[in-house]
Amino acid sequence: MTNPLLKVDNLQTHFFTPEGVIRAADGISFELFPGETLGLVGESGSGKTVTALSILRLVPPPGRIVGGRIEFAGRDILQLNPSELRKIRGDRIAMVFQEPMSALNPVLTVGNQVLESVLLHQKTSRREGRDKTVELFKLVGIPSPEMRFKAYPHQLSGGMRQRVMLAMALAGKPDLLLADEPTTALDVTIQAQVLNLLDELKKTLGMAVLFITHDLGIIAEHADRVAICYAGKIVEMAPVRELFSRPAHPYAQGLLNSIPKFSSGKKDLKLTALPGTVPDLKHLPPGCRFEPRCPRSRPACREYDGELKTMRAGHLAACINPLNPGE
Amino acid sequence: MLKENIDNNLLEVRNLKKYFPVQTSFFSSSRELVHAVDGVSFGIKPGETLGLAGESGCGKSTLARLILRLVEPDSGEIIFAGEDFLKKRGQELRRLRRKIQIVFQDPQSSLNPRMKAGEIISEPIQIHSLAPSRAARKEIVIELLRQVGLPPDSYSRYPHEFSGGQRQRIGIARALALNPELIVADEPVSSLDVSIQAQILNLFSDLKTRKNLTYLFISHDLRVLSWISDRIAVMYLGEMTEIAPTQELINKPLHPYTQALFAAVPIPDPATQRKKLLVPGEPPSPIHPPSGCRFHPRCPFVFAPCKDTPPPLKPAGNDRLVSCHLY
Repeated sequence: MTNPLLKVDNLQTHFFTPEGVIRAADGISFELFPGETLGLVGESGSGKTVTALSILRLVPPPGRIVGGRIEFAGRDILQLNPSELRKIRGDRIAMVFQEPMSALNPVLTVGNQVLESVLLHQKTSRREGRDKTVELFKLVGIPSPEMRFKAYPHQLSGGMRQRVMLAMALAGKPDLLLADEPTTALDVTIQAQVLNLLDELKKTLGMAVLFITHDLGIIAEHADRVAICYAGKIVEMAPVRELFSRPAHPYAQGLLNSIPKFSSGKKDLKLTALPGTVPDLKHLPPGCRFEPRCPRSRPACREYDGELKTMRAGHLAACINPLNPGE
Repeated sequence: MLKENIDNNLLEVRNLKKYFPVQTSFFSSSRELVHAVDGVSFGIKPGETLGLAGESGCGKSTLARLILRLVEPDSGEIIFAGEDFLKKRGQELRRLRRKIQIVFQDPQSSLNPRMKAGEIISEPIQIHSLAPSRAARKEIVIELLRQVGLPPDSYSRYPHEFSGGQRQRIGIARALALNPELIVADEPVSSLDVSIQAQILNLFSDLKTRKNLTYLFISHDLRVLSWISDRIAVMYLGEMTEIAPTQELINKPLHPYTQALFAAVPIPDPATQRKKLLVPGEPPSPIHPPSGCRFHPRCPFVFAPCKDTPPPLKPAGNDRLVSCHLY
C-alpha cells in the first residue's frame, strides 16, 4: 500500500465571531493518495471550503485552526514556519477557486499574472518564463495563447478565466490540486469542457485532486472516492460506485434522492426531499448533527459522537443505524 | 405552431423581439445592439408547465421580463387568455397583470429587507384592493403562508430571519397573493442547496395541482426542468432552437445544441458510462450573432446551408418543433 500524499487528522477549524463560535470544520479526517481524486461533497456551510483553506493555512480571521494534524508528504503543515510553508503553497499544493473573476487581478494582464507564479515557482529568466506561460496556456486549452497573454481578465469569458486560473495553479507543477467548486459559475457545456480538461491534466501530470462540489453528478463522473460533509463533519466516505449503490448514512441517501434524475419512464410525482434545514453551526444539536432531520433517528443518536465506523472495506459512515449495513 | 392549438393556449408569444443598445466604446457615438430576444414564438396550454432551458446570455430572463411587461418588447405579440396583452393600458393592463406573476431567482434581493414577510405578501393584495379590510387581508396572508409551508408567526418576521429556502417560499406566497393563472419562475431554485431545492420543487408541483396554475419555469439545470416540465423549450443566443415534450426531448434531442446540453449534464450514477458530445468553443457575442444558424460555428454537424440560411422553427412530429437544417 502506498503512503497517503495528504493525511488530514481530526482537523478543527473554528470561527470566533461576536455571536459565538462557529465550528466550521469539527473533526475532519481523511486521506488522499497520489494521483487520486477525492470528492468533498456537501451543502453550504458543511465545512468543505474551510477544510481546503485549512490545508493551505489560508483560513481568514476570525477563523483559526484549533486542533488536528494536516500531514502532507510526511510533514505536518500546521508546524511549518512561514518560509517552509511558502515552499509548499502554490508549489506542491495549488488551489483554484469558484469565482475566477474575483481571484484574478483586474488591472494586470492574465499573462503577467500567470508569469508571476511561473517565476515564483520555477527558476527561469523572464523571457523563458514567458514561453513557459504560453506553454501553460496551451496546456489548459486557451486558443491563440500568444494573443491571450496580453488580455485583461474582463476581456475573457468565465470559462477562459477558469482556464487561466488552472494555468496559474499548474505553474508550480503541484502534486495536489485543491479545486473548490471550479465549475459552479460556468454554463454546463463550458463546465463539461473544463471538467474534461481537468481529467486530462490529472492523467498527464499525475496530480491528486481534492474536488469540492455540491454536485453529486460531477462526483459520479470525475472522482475516485467521495467524502460527504454535514455540519462540519464527514458523515460518509467511500469509493464512488460504492457510495452511489450502497449509501449507508441517511443524509447521503437523502442527498442522492433529492436530485431530480432523467427518468425514462413515467415521472415520479414527488422528489424525496430532506425535511428541515442544515443546523446553525453556533447551536449544534447534541449527538449526531443530522438526527433532527433524520428519518431513521433513534434516542441513542442524541448521544452518538459522530465517529466514523467501518461499514465494509474502504467504506466508512458516521451512523449507528445505517442503511445497507455491512455483512 | 400548429394552427388548432393557438386558440387553446393560455399564453401565446409570437415573434417577440427585444434588442438592447450598448455603447461599445467610450469614444464612439455609434450604438450597437444586443440581440437579447430575437424572434421568439411559443405557446403554453392552460395547466401546463413549459420549461425554458438555455445557458447564460441566451435571453431566457429577458423573455421572462417581456412576458410580464417589466421590459417592453420592440416588436411581436403576447396573447394572454385570448387578449392582446401588449395593447393593454391603464385599468385593463392592471387587470391582466394580476393574472401573470413572477418568482425571482434570488429571494435575498427580491424581498425588501425593511418589510415584514406579512407586509411583503399583503402589498399586492392591497394595491389591487382584493380584501375589504386590514383584518381580511391578514387572514388571506396567513392562509398563503400556510399554503407555502410557513408557520403563521412568519407574518411579523423580517426576510433576514429566514433561511434561503424559506425566503423563496415567501417569494412564492407573494406571487400567489393575486390568484394568478400563469406563474413565470425565473431560476427559482438555482441559489438553493440540493436538499432545499427538492423541497421547493415539490412545493411548486403541489401548488400547481391545488391551484390549477400554469408555469413558465426557467432554469439552466436540465435535471430540474426534466422533473418539473411537461414540455421543454431550448434557447440559444436569443432564438428558440427546439421545443418538445419532456420525455421525447430526453430520449431523443434533435437539435445538435440540445444534444450537447444534455450530454454535458453530469449524471449522478457512476454506473452509466456515456459518450460525451463536447461542443467546442463558447457562445458568441449576442451583439454580432453568427449568420445563418446561430449555432453553426460550434456545431459538429454543420453543412452547406447552415452558414447563410437561418433555419426556421418547424414541426418535427409528436408535438415537436426544431430549428435545424438537418430535419
